[in-house]
Amino acid sequence: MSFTETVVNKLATGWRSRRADRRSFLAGAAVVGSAVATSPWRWATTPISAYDAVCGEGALCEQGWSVFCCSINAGANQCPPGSFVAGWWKADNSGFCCGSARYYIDCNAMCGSDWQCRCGSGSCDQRRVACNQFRYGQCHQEIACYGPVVCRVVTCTPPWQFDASCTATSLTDNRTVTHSAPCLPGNCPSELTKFYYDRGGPGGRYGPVTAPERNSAAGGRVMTTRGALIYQLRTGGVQVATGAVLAKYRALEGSRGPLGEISAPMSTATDGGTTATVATFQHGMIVAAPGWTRAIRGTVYDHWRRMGGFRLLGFPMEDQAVAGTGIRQLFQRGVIYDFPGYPPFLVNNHYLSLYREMGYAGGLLGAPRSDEVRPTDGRQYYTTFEKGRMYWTPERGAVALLQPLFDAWKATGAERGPLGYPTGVQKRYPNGSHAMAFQKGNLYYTKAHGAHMIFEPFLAKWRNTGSTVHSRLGLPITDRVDRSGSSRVTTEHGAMVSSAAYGVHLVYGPIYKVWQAAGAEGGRFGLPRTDVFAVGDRTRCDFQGGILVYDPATGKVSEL
Amino acid sequence: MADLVGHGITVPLPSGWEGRIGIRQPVLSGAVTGPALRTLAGAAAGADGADDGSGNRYPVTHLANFALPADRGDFGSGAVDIMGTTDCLVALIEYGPENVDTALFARRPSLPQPGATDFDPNTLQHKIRSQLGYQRFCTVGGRAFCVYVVIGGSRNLVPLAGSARSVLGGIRIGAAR
Repeated sequence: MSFTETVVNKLATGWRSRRADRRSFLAGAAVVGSAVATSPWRWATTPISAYDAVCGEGALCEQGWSVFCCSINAGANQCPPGSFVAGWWKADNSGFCCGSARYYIDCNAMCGSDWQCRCGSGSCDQRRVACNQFRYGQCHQEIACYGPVVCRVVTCTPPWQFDASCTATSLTDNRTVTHSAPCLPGNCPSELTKFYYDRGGPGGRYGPVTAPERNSAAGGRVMTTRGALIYQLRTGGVQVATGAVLAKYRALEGSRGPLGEISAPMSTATDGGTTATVATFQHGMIVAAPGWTRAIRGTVYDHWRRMGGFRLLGFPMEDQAVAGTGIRQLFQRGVIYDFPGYPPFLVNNHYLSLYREMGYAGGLLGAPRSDEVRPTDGRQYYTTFEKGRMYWTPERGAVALLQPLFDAWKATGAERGPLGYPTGVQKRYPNGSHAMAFQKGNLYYTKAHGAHMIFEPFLAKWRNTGSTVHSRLGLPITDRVDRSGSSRVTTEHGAMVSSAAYGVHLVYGPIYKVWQAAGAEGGRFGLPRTDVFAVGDRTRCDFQGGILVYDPATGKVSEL
Repeated sequence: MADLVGHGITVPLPSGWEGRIGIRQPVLSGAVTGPALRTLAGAAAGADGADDGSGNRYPVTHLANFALPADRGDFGSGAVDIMGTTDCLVALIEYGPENVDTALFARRPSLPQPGATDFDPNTLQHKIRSQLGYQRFCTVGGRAFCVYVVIGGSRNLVPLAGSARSVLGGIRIGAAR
């Protein structure tokens, strides 16, 4: 049994109360640890309490030393108001610092402050408060006027390493090596505890400990205080999460919640002039920028990382939100959905604007069913959705191919079929019809006649014809039909007829009805030699076997 | 009268006084702390501003009209604890060049010399009954110093202050070596 174990057992079995509960035992054990560190032989061999021993030598006011700040500053191991960091010294081989030097930093009164000389009280640290007009002088040398030492701060960290006002001129007084106070950490504190006390301890900026130091499931150690999550990773270096990051983490139930344990050093990310603080956890991230704090977590987080994280997708624009039966999270340059039965998918910046216009997953396209696919056979990237597909090129941007054209196009062999890739915007008509241009042809859908394609030579004629004629002609209701000497595509209100002799002409309206009734290409009028064209208020079309004229004033078609 | 010389500091020691000029030895973590100051005999082994990881060390001069103990803090702890009422300790502590000519270490032509009224029972690193102290910071000869004087008892204040003034007045500051 070690010496420390012996004295702790002494405490546990006989000191103060045999009815001490576990909490009081642990608190007492910490005090004994300090007592052993400061005055081991004295504590073990003389009838003094651990609380007397913990303050070390020179703890009485009349012994002339300056008090520790935590004893007079609401537990804070830092300079109280009206004082400043004025200098430091060290004591070598300190048990409080695991055998390394312990540093004592004097807080001298500011000139004009109202500190009055007195003795400390309330603990065994009854040393002098604001009495000793003395200065070590390595810190804040721009301040030449100073009052007495109000109190001293202690640390295992060289002062010049965390206070830029201090210089590194080293001065030593090993006679102070046992000096301590109950409000300071005991012997050989952990790195987390040193970090915590270097920043004031319980009375300092991070407040009292709310969960003691423990092993982290992510590796390393972690402790929480009222205002901070202090942690050390396996790779070393103490980190701290505070403020909005900590509040968000707590709102998500901390380590018991979906984020798990903090698992990487604190970092920052910058995008578009905004710099955010980033805390990384086992299963997610908290990102905090001026005005907002958001979490990325779970499957969305995993997919966000796979898809390029900050670099490609940017900051989260919202927390995860419910989207139908799934979840959604919008980023600066994309949106990720995760629906039951599917892996999470990203709709990236190529498609985001159009997808938003189309109502996201609740709109015409529905939920994504793929990430962006980049085929090697062409320049058109695409993302597949429940009810269609979006294509993107850098020149044109995104277009959406919706049902029912999407299914019809897939039935033709999709991009490898006769139509090739989509090139235009899908037109949707109030009567439920659809039209869309592709690389090598157009595709149409009407409720009554289904989907039909047009190719050259009709395609060029159609594309060179204005919307007024399109509306009079209606949409194609057949594919190309060939007959001897000509071919045609029939539309809702007419036809496009192609012949070697006359080229492609459009026949529609009342003239079409008369021509069709007369046997069309095989009748007495034969093939059209012109489109329907206007002559004053009337329209006319010339055929092989005659000319038909429609007069809207009479509503009659006559042969000229 | 013999001269005590080291690290660019020359002290004409009055009769009955002794002194040490040295740079504290680096201390290995976990090692037992040795004698506080390396004496002149060992001074050649070290260099000004040496850094053992716990800061940069510069010469410390201790002068006393009593026998200095081996184990002393830089501001005389260990020595002040054994002082009698007729004893006087003068400490001249050098700081690194980054301290030179700051507001605290204001430049002056020579080291400050205390008058009897400059001593105060609270101007002490830690208060010891009957002792009086004096402390000033300065830059002399391009080097930053703190002058710290402790007198053992107020009954002998005037002659001891005179002795301290005389010792300080005789110190010559040269270039650091």
